Amino acid sequence: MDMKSFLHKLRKLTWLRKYWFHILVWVAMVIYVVIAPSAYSRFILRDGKPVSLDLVLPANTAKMMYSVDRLDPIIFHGQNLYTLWGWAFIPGEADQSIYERFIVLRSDTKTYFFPVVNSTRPDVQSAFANLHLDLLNSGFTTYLAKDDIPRGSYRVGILFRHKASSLLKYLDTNSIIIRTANQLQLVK
Amino acid sequence: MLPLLLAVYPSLFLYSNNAAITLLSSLIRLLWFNALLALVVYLISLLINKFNAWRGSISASVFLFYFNIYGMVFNFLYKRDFIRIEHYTLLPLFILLTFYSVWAIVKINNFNLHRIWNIASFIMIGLIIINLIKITPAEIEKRRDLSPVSMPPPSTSISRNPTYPDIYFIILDEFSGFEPMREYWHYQGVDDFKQFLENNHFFVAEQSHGESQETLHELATRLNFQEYPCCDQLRTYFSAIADNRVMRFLKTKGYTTITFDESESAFPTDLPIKSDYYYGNAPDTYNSYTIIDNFDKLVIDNTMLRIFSNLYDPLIEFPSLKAHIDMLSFTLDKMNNLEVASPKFVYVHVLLPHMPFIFDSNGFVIASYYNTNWDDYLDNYIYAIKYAEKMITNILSHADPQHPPIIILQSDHGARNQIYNGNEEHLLKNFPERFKTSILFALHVPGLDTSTLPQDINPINTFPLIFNYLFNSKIPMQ
Repeated sequence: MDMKSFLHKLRKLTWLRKYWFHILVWVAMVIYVVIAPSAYSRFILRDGKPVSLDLVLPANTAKMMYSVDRLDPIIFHGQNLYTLWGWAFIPGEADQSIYERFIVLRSDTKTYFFPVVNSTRPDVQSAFANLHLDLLNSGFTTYLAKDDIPRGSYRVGILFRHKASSLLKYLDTNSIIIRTANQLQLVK
Repeated sequence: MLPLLLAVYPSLFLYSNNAAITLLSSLIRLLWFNALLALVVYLISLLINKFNAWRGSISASVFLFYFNIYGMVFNFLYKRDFIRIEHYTLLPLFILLTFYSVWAIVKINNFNLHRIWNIASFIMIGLIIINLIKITPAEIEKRRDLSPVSMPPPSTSISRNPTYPDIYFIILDEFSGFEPMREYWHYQGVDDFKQFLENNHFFVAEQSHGESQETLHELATRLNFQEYPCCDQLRTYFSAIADNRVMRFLKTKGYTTITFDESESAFPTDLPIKSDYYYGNAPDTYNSYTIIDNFDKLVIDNTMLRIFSNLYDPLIEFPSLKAHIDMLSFTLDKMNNLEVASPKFVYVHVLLPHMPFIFDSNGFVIASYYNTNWDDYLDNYIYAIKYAEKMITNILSHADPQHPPIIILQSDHGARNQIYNGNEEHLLKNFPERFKTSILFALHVPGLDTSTLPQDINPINTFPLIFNYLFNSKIPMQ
């Protein structure tokens, strides 16, 4: 059957002739519901998105002190995001500021990198006073948008990248972030 | 009329279920909004239906029905968490459904349309009458409670006895006893706090528990040294606290009574305590910031207007957080500068370390929203310790050494680990039930032999213990 005869037969169906507009409206609605989240993520969402890093994650390095403290929902610039709080530093490294840090969310098939914002943690500084390091800025916060992460479980990792040499140091933490249909949850 | 009935029904229904804790003025404000909405929707519908009144009315009603259930459907699906729910997908779907429902209904012939209109109106009128019947007794009770509450003038007729000590009754709301802090949070700072109290000659009971987890029940019980039925007897507790036995008794002894009480922010219908000086809020803060209240949110959250929650939530949260912060500062400052002659009874009830958990351990505000995450309880607890220490230091440093004050430092209940807005992930894991009633119980009563007081002292005996010691009142202990 060619296209022409197929369309001809279609036209002969009276209910279709009668309700074609409504069918079109509902089909359009279904298409909209399916593509809207991707469109939102691509064109409207501005913050909490992963960045693209052209690198291969190194094996775990044990030389890292960290804590992934909490994950809070937050409204930021009108967007529903999450903030991940914690601290991390490399013991024995006199100048921690030579590294930039990323939060890594890793599943079996996907890896996402999120840039962090440094935050001051006087409590960490005083807790590790015996190390004689400047740890005041060891805190971090990261915005995470659930919209850019498919459903599933993600191991939280912390990546240190040397600003000059691009040397990488990485550690998988004990924390897992679970992306459900509507939420992100932190499991420690 | 049908659109109007449909528009006002959700507000009336929710008010009837919350009448004890909601102000009538909040309902009236919302009813005006509902009526205006119904009028606008009806006029638009009339225009679309070429001024056919029946069809216009039915169409408007269908729209208002969908308008009023949108938020509930969103919430239900969001919480079930089996399908991704966003306003930008659910709302267009809902609007499309609304149009199709209207389209289907206006195709019905006029005779049947009249019947539908009549039946729907009859049902709505019935539902509204049922809710009005529920609301009326609650409102009558509120009026009855309010009528006798007039602030008595500062004590003049009863002669003062300046040798009586000032009495401070300080309640830190939700402040856990020490045992849970050591065992669950592994927070050893409570030992320093205990040491601080003992250095200032406080008796500290470590095993004291409240009878319930309800603030008002606990306060009513302690301020009247009598048992009240637990729980949810709000009107009973309101009255018992507002006109309490402790203050009545102390008035007969010539005391001036002063109240600092944050209950009003949690219970807008709470009755002000009958005391000579009453501070429910820091002056010039709360009312001037309030635009919409929690009842408005409760109603609006169920409607299509929920899509604007990111805009209106801060309008509710910011004023209440600001009022809370202001009240904490005000209480601390004002207690220091009370130009009231002794003897005086100062009652302080502050929502610290109560939710929202907005402070870090130094008292800096870290959350500009209604933070309900129990992981932050500890920081607020540590700040509460500092707040209490400052309060006690101030009281003792300003006290007359010849007539040292009595200080009762307590909490109403422990950390209750209560869920808020269904956020189960904000709860503490494996938090023992028995910890929820574990309270702070510390007494500074110069001259009283506390060596025989039990560590699990029942807080209901607080005032009998003190009155028997001070005035030989012979009040039986429980």
